[in-house]
Amino acid sequence: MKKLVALILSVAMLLSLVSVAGAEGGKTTVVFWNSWTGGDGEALQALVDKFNASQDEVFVDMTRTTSFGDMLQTALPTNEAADLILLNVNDMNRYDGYLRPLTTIFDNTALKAEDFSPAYLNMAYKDGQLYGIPFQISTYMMYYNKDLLAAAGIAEPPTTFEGWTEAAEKISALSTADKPIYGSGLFYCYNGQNQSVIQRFGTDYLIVGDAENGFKANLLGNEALASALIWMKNLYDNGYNPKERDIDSMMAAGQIGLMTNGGWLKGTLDASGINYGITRLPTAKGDDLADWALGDLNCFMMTTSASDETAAAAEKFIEWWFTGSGLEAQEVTQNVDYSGMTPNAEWSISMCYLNAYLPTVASPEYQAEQILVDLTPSETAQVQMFTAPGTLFFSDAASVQADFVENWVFNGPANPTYDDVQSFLEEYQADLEDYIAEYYN
Amino acid sequence: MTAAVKKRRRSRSFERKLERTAYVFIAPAAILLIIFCIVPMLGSVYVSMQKMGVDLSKAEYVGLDNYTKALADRRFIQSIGITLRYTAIEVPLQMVIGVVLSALLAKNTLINRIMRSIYFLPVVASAVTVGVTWQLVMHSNIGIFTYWLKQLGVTDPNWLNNTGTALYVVVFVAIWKTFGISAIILVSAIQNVPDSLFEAAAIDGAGKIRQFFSVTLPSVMPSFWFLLMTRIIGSLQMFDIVYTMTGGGPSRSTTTMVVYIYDQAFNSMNKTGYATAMSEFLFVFIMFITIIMYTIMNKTSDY
Repeated sequence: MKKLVALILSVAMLLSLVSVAGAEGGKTTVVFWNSWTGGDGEALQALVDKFNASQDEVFVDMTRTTSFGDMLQTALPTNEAADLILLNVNDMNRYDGYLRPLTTIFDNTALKAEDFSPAYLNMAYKDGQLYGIPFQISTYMMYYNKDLLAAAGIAEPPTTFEGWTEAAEKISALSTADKPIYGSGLFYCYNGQNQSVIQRFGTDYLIVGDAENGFKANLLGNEALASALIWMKNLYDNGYNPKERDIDSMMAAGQIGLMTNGGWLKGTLDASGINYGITRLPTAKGDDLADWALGDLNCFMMTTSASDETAAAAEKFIEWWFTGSGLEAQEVTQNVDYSGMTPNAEWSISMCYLNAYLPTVASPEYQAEQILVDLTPSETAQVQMFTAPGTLFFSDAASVQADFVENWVFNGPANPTYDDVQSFLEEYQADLEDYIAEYYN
Repeated sequence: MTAAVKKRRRSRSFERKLERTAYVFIAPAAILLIIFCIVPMLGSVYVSMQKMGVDLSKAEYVGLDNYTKALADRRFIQSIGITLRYTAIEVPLQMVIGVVLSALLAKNTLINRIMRSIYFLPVVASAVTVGVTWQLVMHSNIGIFTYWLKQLGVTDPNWLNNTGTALYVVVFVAIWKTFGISAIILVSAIQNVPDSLFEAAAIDGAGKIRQFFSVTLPSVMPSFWFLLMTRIIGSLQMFDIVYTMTGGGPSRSTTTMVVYIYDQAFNSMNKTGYATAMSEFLFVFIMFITIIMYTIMNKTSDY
């Protein structure tokens, strides 16, 4: 009996292997890793599935994981990493030596370098070699709950941070014992969100300078940063902002009035059914700040684990992304007909990601999306939200920010003044100076 | 040559043969140990003396710089403090709960067998699942536990996001996850204590409590020491539950040594060598604790 069971199990295992091989059906498999695990992940998976079904040459085997960085770091040295990845350009230096230059992509495909916004495409060059094709500009925007704003008697979402506080106070007053409601939904532990609002106070605040003249930390004596920190702390101290590490679910539950986040939240909110809107983030004085970037650039990149064959296959997928046809019916978003759009255009419009591919930007569908048009930076804009010049500081500068924002908001003095901020930031300024000394100057 | 000399030589030859055979038998294990333990350990010492990121070929030899830097790194020192605090709370509580439960569950009744299985369930659950589940249970907004606390009139039950309480929540969850194994090991130790000892104690007039302290506890000390040692080592290496529940926050209040080492290795630039140097500190620290524990164990145990 035992032998029979063992035999059946062995046959079942072999059959399952055969069925997996059959699914790829002689196509060249491109292993594709990324960290798109938010509300946008399903939309990306749907597009990849569409690509796989659309032709018989290439199969894209995509893994979306929150352990993306760990997997990459451990797999790259042994050439066992994915062929294709989505990587923030800030991390290009981290994986220096393990990224495969995309030297032939403009020769082998219908893509043209001049079709990409030069400001963004240039960021993907290193030592004269192109390493990435812009996939999306991860933009931060203000999400607001229309019903809560209406219930609080607020006609329009705020355009200044002062207005944010006033709106937050009115919305928070709607709170009941059964359903706590907060007017403001800042994640104090979330670097990108903190950065997006602090920057809109009008400051290059982490590190300033350049390679020629040297870099320096820019926390102390930075009035805009101090104002931002005082504003954030007062929101929390007054009970307008929760002390929570998962604001997304509260927004989806209709408990948050205003928050900042990227397009990855959109899918979650669409699925939740709440009545929400998206608009530009406020600024300290309500001015335009068109030259202040609101996001980071993520690119398609290839690793040195890719063979010539898989690299060529990955190029075909990238080409399809920009020039192929997307889904006929997009299920994860509302009220937009995506038929006839390229996958890139559909991705950009459905997820509210700014685009660096000029034919998409110029398309009537993209231009019809006011929020995308409003957010698209000018040609002279800083293209990186993280203000450290160059890209080498990203991780460590981000870790210093993560430390001081949460610590300041939760443990800083009540009714803080500018001087309180200065004394609080002293040790963090020293930390940043240490990083700068170690990596650059 | 006398017969006695011949016999001695044959005996020596046989012993040498036995020795060779023994070496052949232990060779596979020794080779595996060398390949998978000794070589990586030496490799990690080498890496700890490099300034490097992902690419070993671009590593720069920095001698003991990473070690001296770690000793001056206030965040690393803070993480040591948090780890020690975590260990100092988690281990004694875990041991007390384990001992009490094992005493209650030692008899082989049907209910006890069922209860032992129930208590053991969290042990076999994945730490990540446990962390995420408890994070939801303790969620300040949608958590059932937080809801109950609010119903009981607790004004700020947001314990997981509070710098003063987050570590205690993590300790609680870690104990919940592992107390079953402590209880089961001690139960089996108690069941191995000869009944004659209890009978003799009873004849001498010892009650149940006296029997527990004078017979049960001394008899299970080898298992107790083993548990204590493994719990201390496990606590010093705490990572998974902390990482999934709090990510080391809020404000680094739950950043244990391993969480900090992981953060430096995987979320920072060119710090693989530095993170490895900190790991070496942890290794030496654990080795030091283990040696002390063994010494105490050998001095106090009759076994």
